[in-house]
Order: sequence, then structure tokens, then C-alpha cells
Amino acid sequence: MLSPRKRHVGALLLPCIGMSLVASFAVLALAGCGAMAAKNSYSGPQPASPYWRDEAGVYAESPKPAPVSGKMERGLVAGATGGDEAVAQPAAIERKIIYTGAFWVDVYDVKQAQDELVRWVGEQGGYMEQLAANRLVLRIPADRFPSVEPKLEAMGRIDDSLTDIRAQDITAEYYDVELRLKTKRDYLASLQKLLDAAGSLKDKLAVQKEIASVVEEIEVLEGRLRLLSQQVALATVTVTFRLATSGPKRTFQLPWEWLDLLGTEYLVD
Amino acid sequence: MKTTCTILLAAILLASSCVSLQTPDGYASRKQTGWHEYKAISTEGAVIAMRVERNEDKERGTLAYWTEASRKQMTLSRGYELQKEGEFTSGEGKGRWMLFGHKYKGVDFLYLLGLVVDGRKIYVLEATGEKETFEADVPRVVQAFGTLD
Repeated sequence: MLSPRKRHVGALLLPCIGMSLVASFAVLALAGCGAMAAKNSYSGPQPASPYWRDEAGVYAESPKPAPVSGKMERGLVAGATGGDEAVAQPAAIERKIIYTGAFWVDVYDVKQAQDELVRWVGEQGGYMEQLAANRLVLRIPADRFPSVEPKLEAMGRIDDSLTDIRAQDITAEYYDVELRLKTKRDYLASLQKLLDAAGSLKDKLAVQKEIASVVEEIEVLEGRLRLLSQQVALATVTVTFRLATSGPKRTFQLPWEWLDLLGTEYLVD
Repeated sequence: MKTTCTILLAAILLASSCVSLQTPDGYASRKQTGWHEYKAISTEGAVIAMRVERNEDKERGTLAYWTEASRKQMTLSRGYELQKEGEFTSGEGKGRWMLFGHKYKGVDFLYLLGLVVDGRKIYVLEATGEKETFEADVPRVVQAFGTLD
């Protein structure tokens, strides 16, 4: 049972909500079409090797980039909310993928390897997020992500049994948040118009309260969208360096002990 | 019993083998050499050392064999990078030297390894130092390897 005040706000907002719902439905319908179109419009980072791990961590054939014709835009076209306006055709939706990688690498000099990797990531446009003991957490532009593994291979021996590369497709979630955000913004605009038209102080207060609530929701959605965008733009790479104690390229040792005792390590006190 | 005596005798002979190396300029030799027959240190901390190892198969254990074994040991098992190699002649016979580059505690180092094989003996000549200072010493140290007698 609604209180009289809520019924009053409800009566004021009903036409507005109705418009928003119609608009939302139209936009959702467009988004659905867009999502289907996205299947053939991969535009994320291209892996360097012919095989790539899919979301389940299984190596699969690399996705082939679709030929890009014209400008790749986000799927939703402005103006699709008007009732009598012509429905715009959805553009190809850019897939939103979060890349993460974890590597264990055996090197002969951990400090030197860390310094070299941090420097290299900086050159790629990324940065070091965390350094704890021998573990580095790096953020690197997503389009440079496929070059991480070859770089690490050149630095030492990657322990393949521990390597974990993931590509999480968040396209649906991303556009869902974006759509909800757009709907809320449209709703906010309607509320603001309603506020201007409201006559009594009581009406104005009721609308203002609703506006405050919607603004809060918009801020939450904006924050979520910002976070998702950052995760998509910058891949997260965790590299744990271990000191290589045995041969990186051979699995046997010659039986003469004196050969094991050659090298700087046994000469410098 | 006979075998043990032979091994002991061989060890004593190896240990007491009087072998010398001329200390190059800029280095001073040490008396406390640990497991090495000879050791010398530069003011920059570069080290030259020499030890004698037993060549179990004097027919097959040639200079070429031990050079190859050492090269593979250093490059494949230890991650050293071979930079140069060459030959030298000493009083104990022909030798080969190899110069490797590598990182040690984050610093560029050079490691020079010389080998001379004379029958049952393998003379292992080593030198190492920070690349920045030791690089200039390398020709002098190779020359010192040639004074093995």
C-alpha cells in the first residue's frame, strides 16, 4: 500500500517512467541485435601465436580479426529512443575483453629481470602496479598483451605448467551497464523537465528527491563503467620470477663435479 | 686395496703437482687459495684462479672434448653467453680460452675460462670480474694463462 506522498510522486512520474520503459525496450532490442552482430567483429588484441587460450583456459585457434569497414563504433546509436523517430541501424559492437596473465619465469638474476621487465612495460605504455618480493603485477595496454609471453621467453624459462592466461569477455555486461546508464540519464533529463513544470512546492520536493536517487544510481553505474573500461584497456600481468638454479635448456648434468664448480659464483668470495 | 692405494697415490701426486702461473700486472697472489692451486686478486676485485682436475680418460678426454663440455656447461646449464674464444700455448701444452658474459647480482660480469689438457691432468684456469673494469684485463690474463708451467 503506497503512502499518499508516494502515490502523488507516482502519478507525476508515471508518464515519464512509461516513456523511459518504451525507450529502454527499444534500446534493448537494438542492443540485442548489436550483440549478435558483434560475433563477427572482433577488434581486441590479436594474439601473436596461432593458438590462444579461450575463456576456459583451453588453447584454441586464434580468433581472426574481421575486416574493418568504416569506423568501428559502439553499437548504440543516439536517437533510437524517440517513439516516432526512425530507428537507426546498430553499428558493429566492439567486443570488450579483459585480458589477464600469470607467469612464473626462471631467471639467473631476479633483480635484473624485474628492472628490465618494468622498463619494457613502461616502453609499451603500461606501468607497474605492485612489487612484492619476487612478484610483479603489471598493467599493459591490451593490444600489447600478446607480446608479453615472447618477452618473458627471451628473459628466462617460463614454467608452462603454471602459466595462466585468460580472456574474459564482458561485452554483454559492459553494454548492459552502458545501456542502464543511458536509460537513467534519459530518466534524469525527464525528471528535470518535470521539475521545471512542477507547480507546487510539494511536487518539486517529491521530484527533487527522485532526482537525487537517480543521480546516485548514475554515479554508481558510471563508476562501474569506468572500472570495466580500465580493465579492458589495460591487461593485468602477474610475473613471478624465480632464481634459476639448474640448466634452463638441458635436462641432464655431466657427471664431472668440477664442471659444476666453474663460474663467477665459485670464484668471487 | 690396490685400487684404493692407486687412487690415493694419484690424488697425492695431483695435489703435490708443482704448477705455476705468472701473476699479471695489477694482481697480487694469495697464499690461502682454498681448493685452488693458485689465486690472484686485482684491486678491482677481479679474480684469477687455477686448479688441476683429473682426466679419467686420457685417450678420449681431449682438449676439444673438455672445451666442448665446458662450453655447453656454461651456456646451456648456467646461462652464460659465449663472447669470444681462442687458443694459447703454455708450458703444459696447448690450451683454449673462452670468454663469457653474464649477470651476477645484477651487474655485468665477464668470466674467462682456460683449459689445458696434459695426459691425466686438466688445468682449469679461471678469471672473473665486473665487465666495466675486467674487460681491459682480459688480454693480460690470457697472456698469463700462457705462463702455466
